[in-house]
Amino acid sequence: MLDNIKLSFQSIFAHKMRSILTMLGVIIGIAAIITIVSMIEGQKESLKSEIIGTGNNSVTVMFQSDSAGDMMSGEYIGDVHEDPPPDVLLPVSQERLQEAADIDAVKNVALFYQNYAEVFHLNNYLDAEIYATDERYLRSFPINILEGRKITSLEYDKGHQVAIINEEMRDSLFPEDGMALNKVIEVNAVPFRVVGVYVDQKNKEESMWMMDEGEGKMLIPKAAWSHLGSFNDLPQALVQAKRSDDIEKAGQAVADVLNQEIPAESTWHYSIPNVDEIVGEIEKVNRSYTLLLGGIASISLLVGGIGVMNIMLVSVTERTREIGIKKALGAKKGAILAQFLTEAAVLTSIGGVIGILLGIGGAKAISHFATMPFAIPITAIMVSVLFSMVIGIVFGLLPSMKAAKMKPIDALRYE
Amino acid sequence: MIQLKKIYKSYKQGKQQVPILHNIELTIEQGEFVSIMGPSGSGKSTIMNVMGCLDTPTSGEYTLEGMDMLKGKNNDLATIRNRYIGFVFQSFHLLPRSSALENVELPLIYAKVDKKERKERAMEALEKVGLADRLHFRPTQLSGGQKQRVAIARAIVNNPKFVLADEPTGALDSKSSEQVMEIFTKLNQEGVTVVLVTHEQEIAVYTNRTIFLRDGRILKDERRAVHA
Repeated sequence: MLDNIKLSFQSIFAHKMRSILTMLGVIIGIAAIITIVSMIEGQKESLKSEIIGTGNNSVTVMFQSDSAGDMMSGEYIGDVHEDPPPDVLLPVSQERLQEAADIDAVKNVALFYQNYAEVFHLNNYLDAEIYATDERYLRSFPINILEGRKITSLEYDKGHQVAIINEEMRDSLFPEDGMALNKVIEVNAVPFRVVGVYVDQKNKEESMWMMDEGEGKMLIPKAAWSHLGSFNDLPQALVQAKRSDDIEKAGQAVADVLNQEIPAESTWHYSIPNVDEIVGEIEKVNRSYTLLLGGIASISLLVGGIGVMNIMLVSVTERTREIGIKKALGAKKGAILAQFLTEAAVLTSIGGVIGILLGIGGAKAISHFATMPFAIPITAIMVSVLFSMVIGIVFGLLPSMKAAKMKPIDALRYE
Repeated sequence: MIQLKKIYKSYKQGKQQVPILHNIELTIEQGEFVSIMGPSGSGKSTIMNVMGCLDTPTSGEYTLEGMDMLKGKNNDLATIRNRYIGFVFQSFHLLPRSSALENVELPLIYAKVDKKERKERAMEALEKVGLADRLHFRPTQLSGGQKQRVAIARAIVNNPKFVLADEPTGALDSKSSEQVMEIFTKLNQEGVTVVLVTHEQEIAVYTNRTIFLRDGRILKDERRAVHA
């Protein structure tokens, strides 16, 4: 076998030009496939990280009805109120939270509430996002105080009605002078005293999902959430993973821990957004593209394969004498067949490897110029190499059989 | 022992069957040194090819070492060629891109001899034909006589009982021819049966039996005392 591979390289390098031209079909086909797969995978990956992560390896575990898993269907966003209310709503105990925080993959866990509401100051108001958090939460989403101060530990513990607001909210509620400190603003007719103005330390990278650019935001102590009364009081848990690969795993593990307190008959549970399902929806759109481009690539591979068959037939004819000599010296059919099949497979495999390199280069170039993400899936590469090898074997079969079947005397006499 | 009985062979040429061998009866004992002579077209090469299992006759019987050669499948014949028969051709038939050593190793590869032993035996065979210093030369770097000696080394490397040579000196000058014939003589003295096809009388005198062919028939079968 090793000898055959060595022989194959010898004969391929003996006809460099011819070999390269023959490989071209396979090269183009494989390169096209790798490029396409890389682009699609890249898009998928970036979508996934946009949905699940917020740039700091975190995911939100939500308490939701088991039927509300599908975010994309709009049920969660639009019709959440038509869902049956949770049959059980237990506070998360400190021990459970600690247990969740002790999970290997987990860096930080924090419970928080979040909702949208209109926030008033005198005649000014804006639609803002309200976060009821604690200091644990801010460990994962650190903030910088621009004016005033942070919410103190005491205020967090006691649930004081204090708030820190972001610049957008300050500019909307205090358009005249921007003096927000110590003013009282109202959310749901519940007063909160502004003690500080903050800015997120790390602005979320431009995101097509969280259209939250320039949105008003305010942070209040988690313990003060109950004062807001009629608000959606479903808890959420922020889970920050140690490594980006573990986001889903960490989120799921925390959800499992929190669910331990939920009675078995409940239809509400803690769960992470079903990323695969969302990505699956998007993939459906991609599928027609994939089919089209994959079709083109397949045709290229087919043409490439026929080229290989053609050149192998030439090669067999050229080497009729060699085949005759080998047969005279005792080579069996199988040995001749193996030699030419190996040569065809080596030829297309080299083409496949070059194609992969070109494909990766192509994907990089496209992602560079079109600012699209790309990811190279290892499986696609391995499948490509295997596939190009198979092309060699399939299309090399006919010429190799021809070589193996030759009668030694005819082969020796061939001029 | 080689035994040919009623060997008949014809080629199709257009719509006609052209006979090339007529009822050849021939027995060659172990250890003989035989030359087959005749004008071109007399069928001498065809006999050799039949004996070497490279070609099959249209009808007749052929046994080699008691084995019926005409019932063998292709792969059996390949094994027999590999184990019992060494070939030497007029135009050498060496693989052009392989070194002398690699060429000589070839039959051992098909005999599934392991790499180390393969190399040792190939070197030994090349030494025997006086080419120990040309192991890594390619055929293009060798003279005609040297090429033919590489081919002989290749023929004998698997210790065959029979060496069949088709005009082995046809493409060589007289000095190289002499060297080649001396090697054949020595081989024969070691007990190898050597059969060679030639049309040169000077070559035939090395052998102790000469078979004359004409138009596919054995004209004369002549034995003589061993050449001194």
